[in-house]
Amino acid sequence: MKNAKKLLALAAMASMLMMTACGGSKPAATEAAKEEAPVEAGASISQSQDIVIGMNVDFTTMDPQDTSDTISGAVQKMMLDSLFAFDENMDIYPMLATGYEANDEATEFTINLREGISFTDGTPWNADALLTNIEKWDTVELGLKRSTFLSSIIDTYEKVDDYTVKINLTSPFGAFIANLAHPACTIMSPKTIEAGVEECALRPVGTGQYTFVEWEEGDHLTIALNKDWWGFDAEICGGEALADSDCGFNTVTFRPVEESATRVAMIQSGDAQIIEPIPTESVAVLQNDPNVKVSVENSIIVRYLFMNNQKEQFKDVRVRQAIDYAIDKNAYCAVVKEGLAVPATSVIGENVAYYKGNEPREYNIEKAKELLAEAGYPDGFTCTLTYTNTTANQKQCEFIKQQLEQVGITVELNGLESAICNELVQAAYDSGADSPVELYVIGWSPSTGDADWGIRPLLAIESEPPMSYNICYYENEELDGYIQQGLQSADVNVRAEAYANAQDLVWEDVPLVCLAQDSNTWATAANISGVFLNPDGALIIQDAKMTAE
Amino acid sequence: MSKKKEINEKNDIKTPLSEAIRKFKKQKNAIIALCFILFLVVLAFIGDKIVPFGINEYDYSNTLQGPSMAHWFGTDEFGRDLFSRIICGTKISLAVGLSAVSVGCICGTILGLIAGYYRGWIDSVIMRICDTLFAFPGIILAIAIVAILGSGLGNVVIAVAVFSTPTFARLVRSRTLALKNAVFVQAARNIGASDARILFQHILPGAFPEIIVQYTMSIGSSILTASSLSFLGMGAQPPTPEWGLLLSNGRNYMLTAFHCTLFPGIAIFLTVLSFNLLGDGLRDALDPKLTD
Repeated sequence: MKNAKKLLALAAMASMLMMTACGGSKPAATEAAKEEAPVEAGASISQSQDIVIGMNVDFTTMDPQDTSDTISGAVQKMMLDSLFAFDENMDIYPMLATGYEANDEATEFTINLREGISFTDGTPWNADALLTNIEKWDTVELGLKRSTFLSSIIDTYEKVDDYTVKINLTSPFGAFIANLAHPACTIMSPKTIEAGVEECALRPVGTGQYTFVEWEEGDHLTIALNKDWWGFDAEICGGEALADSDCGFNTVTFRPVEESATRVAMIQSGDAQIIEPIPTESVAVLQNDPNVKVSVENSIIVRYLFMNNQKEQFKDVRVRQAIDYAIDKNAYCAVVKEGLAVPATSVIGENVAYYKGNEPREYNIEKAKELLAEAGYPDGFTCTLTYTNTTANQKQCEFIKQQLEQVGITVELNGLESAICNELVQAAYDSGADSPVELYVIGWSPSTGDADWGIRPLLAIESEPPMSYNICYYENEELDGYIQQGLQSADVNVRAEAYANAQDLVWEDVPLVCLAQDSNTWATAANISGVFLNPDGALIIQDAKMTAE
Repeated sequence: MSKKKEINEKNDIKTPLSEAIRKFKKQKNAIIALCFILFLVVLAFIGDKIVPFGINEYDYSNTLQGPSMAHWFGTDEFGRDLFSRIICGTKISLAVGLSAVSVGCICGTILGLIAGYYRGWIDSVIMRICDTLFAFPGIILAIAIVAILGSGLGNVVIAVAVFSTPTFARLVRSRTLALKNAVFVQAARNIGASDARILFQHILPGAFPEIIVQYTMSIGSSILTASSLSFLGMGAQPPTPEWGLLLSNGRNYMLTAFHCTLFPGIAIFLTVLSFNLLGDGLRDALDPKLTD
């Protein structure tokens, strides 16, 4: 009797489950039919798609003026347009400007603005809007990371008419237009700027292809397609539209996934449609996956080992040279970068304007030991290498430790969580000697494509933390002289000579060890096209689209 | 003949220890686990002398090679021999597990004795602190402690010790409560024994069986927690061959070189399993309520 009751109950449950299942399947089938019916294979379906992009680090801020990392800058550029921009060859093309005129001395720039554009909050784009932006760029008191980027160069600025602005510079500056194409100079709505720096950092509004939706720090940042974007309109663009009208995705969600293997699993399982960068060890795996498209391109990112030049042991140039001799750059590229990098030949990458290559110091343990002995360290010394503990960083730091151990330098590794590490490295100390950082690893991509931004932020005296990234605390007036010479001239030859001297000096004096020049790697789902990484490492999805299979 | 047998049985006195050993010998799993643990202890002492390669001996031309005759467990991303690294890592994992649980055990036992013997406000304070610590899952508490103290093996030991302390405190307190009114304790008090003498010479030995079982069981979980913290980058720092760290490094190559995760994983698994089986066996042997 009891068993019969149990059976009856089971039968009743099973039939309820079946009914529920039938009820649920009906609308799903209709939806599928609705989606599938009108799309032909090869047609763009991207504007109805919500895609996920997996990246290796989290965003720091949405305020371009307070951004020093490439990834935050790249996402801002999807929402905020700039006056000028770089294409995939680092050539400059006009965006919110239509062109410019400069006087012969390169001290006076008149910029003509594109008409018929509005910010996504309805504010019109015109000379007044630009002036509000320039005013922000020029206000050092805001204390933003890029406050010194243009403020020392800009003298006065004025509205000529509704669509023309004239900017006078304090001194001749040939790279001014290249600087305007830097991600720090993207244009924000005047309303957002007036609402204050916090609003700029959290809810950016621009004229871009995408609009900001939400940002949950550490979890995701979502942007949505702006179908009324001026770049889709050939008439406003003056002939040819910036992007095809079927480009772009309904929404794009960026997920910071520090764990390299997880990012790879995401693209393979379809949880993400784009990932960047691909961990070097997984490039081959993804290349064999028919559902994934892998891209590898040269970058302008150079990897450095910073040495704190004001610490006792690194004050001596012979010690710094010894460290350069002791690290096998070819092995670094092969083992740490799995062949996806080449040994660095200058403090700046090969595609950066005014690059001048130098002969890399050969890997020579004996020479390194000799130099250390001459400098008074025949048995080496102990020092600490501080780094943000990402998988890739940990690997390169272990490599550096192994290499330096051969010449008697014992390196203690101090891997820190990225926010804690940045705080430690970027804090203001009375002098470099007081900084707890002795060795530090960093990659730098000069997003202006110009030698100035590859050298000045890393090695000029004015760039010592907290102002910028001279974490080497390198103070060399001769180098500063060359930097200023390059900065203050519009003459290509003068600039080339100044930066060549600067590069030679850095190569000889070794304030930092230039390890390698990276390759950019990214992967997309096989049916996505038009995605690329700028040589500076910034992800560009302006022309991206997904096609039906 | 039957008389002789009777006499023999009378002479065969059963002490608690001999009874425990007799019961323990019947636990085959626990015996195997004990042998494995003894083997690990030997490895911990002589491991670095018998391994075929140095733990930091790299070979860039031989990276991520699978298991072979030269490298039994294969090589890692720098061409280092994984077998040698895992053997040398035994010392670290055992040392972290044992020292953390020992610290937790000593602190917890003292706190438990004090709380159970003196009762009153001191009992309330100690037990409420323990309740608070119990409210957090062990690994979360350990992460929080390491986040405050900073990463490193020393701090992992402190973190694991902190979260294993309340278990011992509660256990010893309950035994103390049961024993403090026992006749032999009252007798000791009546002849004028000091509190310390009563606690450590009369009550503590009565709690030994529970402490030993808990101690053994905790070692397994603390090795696991220490490995987890190293896996998360909060414990041992590279290039230490700590098992959790080896596992963490290997996970990047899971698709191309599975051996980098497999062997450290097996090492952690077998060690934790052995300590748990030994703990089970000891519990069965030492618990007077359990019959054969």
